[in-house]
This record gives sequence, C-alpha cells and structure tokens, in this order.
Amino acid sequence: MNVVAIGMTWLMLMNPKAGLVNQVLDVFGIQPAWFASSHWALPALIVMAIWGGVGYCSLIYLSALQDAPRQLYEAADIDGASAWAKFRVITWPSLLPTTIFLMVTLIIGASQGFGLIALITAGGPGDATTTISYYMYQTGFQFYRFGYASAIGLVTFVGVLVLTLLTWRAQRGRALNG
Amino acid sequence: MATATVAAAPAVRTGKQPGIRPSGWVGFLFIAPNLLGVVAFTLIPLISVVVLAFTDWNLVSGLGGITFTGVDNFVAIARDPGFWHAIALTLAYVAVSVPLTVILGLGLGIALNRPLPAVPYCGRSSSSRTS
Repeated sequence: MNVVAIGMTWLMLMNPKAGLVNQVLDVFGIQPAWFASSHWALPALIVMAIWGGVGYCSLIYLSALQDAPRQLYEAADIDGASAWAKFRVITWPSLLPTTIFLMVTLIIGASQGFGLIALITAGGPGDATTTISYYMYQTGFQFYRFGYASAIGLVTFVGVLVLTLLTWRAQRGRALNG
Repeated sequence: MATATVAAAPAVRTGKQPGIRPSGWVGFLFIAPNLLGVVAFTLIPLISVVVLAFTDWNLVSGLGGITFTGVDNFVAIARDPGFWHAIALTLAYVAVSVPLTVILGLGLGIALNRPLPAVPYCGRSSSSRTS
C-alpha cells in the first residue's frame, strides 16, 4: 500500500485530541502526543510500518502454507501430535525459506525507510526519528553536503549488505527439505 | 498483375530476410524509453555516489566545485554523533518492525489458511473440500 495513504490514515487515527487511538487510550488515562513527543514518534512510525507490511506478509505466507507437505500432517495426525508440535516440527521448518525471504526484503526496506518519516515527522521532533535515510537526505539536500551524503549512502549500503548476509547465514541448512 | 505480386513476395523474403534480427541498433531503439530512465535515474546516480563519496561537494558550486578528499568523509562519519544516532534509530526501527511484521503476517496467514464462511467462491479451500 502506498506510504502516503498509510501515513494520512494513521495521522488521523493518532491525532492526539480527536484520533481514535487516543480516544480508546483515554479509557486508561494515557494520552501520548505521538508525533509531537520524542518518545512516541518512533514507536508510532513502527506501528505504521508494521500495519503496512502485515498484509503483504500474510499473503506470501498464505501461499506458502498452501504448499505445505500434506503427507507430513497426515503422519503427524496418525501419531497423535498436538497442534503446537505440528506447527513446530512441520509448519515452521517448511515455511523457513518464506520467512527468510520476508525477513531479508523487510530488513532492506526498513533500513531504507524514508517515505513515512519524510511525510509524517520530517525526522523530528528534534532528531527523534532521523533514521539513516532521512539523515542522508538532510545532509545532501538540506545542507548540500553531497560528498558526505554519498559516503553515508555507501556505508549504509555496506551495512544493509552485512545484515542481509547475516540473515541468510542464520537459516542455512535448517529448511525442511534443503 | 496479381500473379506478379504473389511471385515477387517470396523472392523478397528469401533475399533480405525481413523479420526480427536478434541484434542491431533497432533493438536499442525499442528499449530506449525505459533505458533512458534507468540510465538517468539509476545507473548514473549509482556510479556517481561511489565517486562522490570520496569528494567534498556542495552542489551549488557546480561540477567544478568537486574536490577529491580521499577517505576524509569516512573518517568524519566515524566521528559524527548524528550518524551514530541515526544508525541506532534505524537498527531499533528494523529490530522491532521486521520481526513483528513477520510474526503478525504468519498469524494472519495461518488464520486465513482454512475453510472460511465465504470460501466456496475462492481458490484452494473449495478445491480441498471437493477432494
């Protein structure tokens, strides 16, 4: 889903006075100011990012689940395995390649997260939501330090590459049939 | 007259072999609209970032204002508190949002992977019912 649509929806939901979220939280007597508070701005952005990504993940998982090995479930049923045991021994290992794919793409996407931040908080309040892409943008296009911004970009690229390789490494040889 | 054109057509075909040749500049013309965009907005920035990372440039001074400074930028990054603050925020953002997205997506996927009230009309569950 488009980040602008996600952002505008949650901006209204998280409006400190009129938003649905704070109307509900009012029952418990807490009223976070979300995007005006340096403590709550980043968590609010994380909630938005999660909400925006879950639908895609569930779709990919759903298609992977429909590929799950039937005969193993049947064997587990005959052996009288519990639902949790079936999940742990069959479902989770057979979904591992899917999980890794989602983790890798989400890590890359989240490390470069820019749209929501530029739209909602512009890195603020202060520098409470200045993630690396926004810091790079500020350095390059607001302070016009293009060389420095390019260097940040290069370092970020290497960092994301290392994160991706680590994620990839973690799953090696653990898949059900790999 | 009609017979003449019919006779001429195969001759042309065998002689010049019209049709799509696998190589040649015409092919590049077909991908040119997209290639132009890729080169202008992906390839050139991609290469220039690697070059600019070793320079000091403020855009306003124009192309002549590019001065090479070696690894100065990277030394400055290592000492820049703003950079490390941004890295910490990004890592927190990734570490919280990615696992939660995957776990919630898995939960939702499992919840949807069963016969639901409306399923006779959609995909897999209807076929599994008939089997």
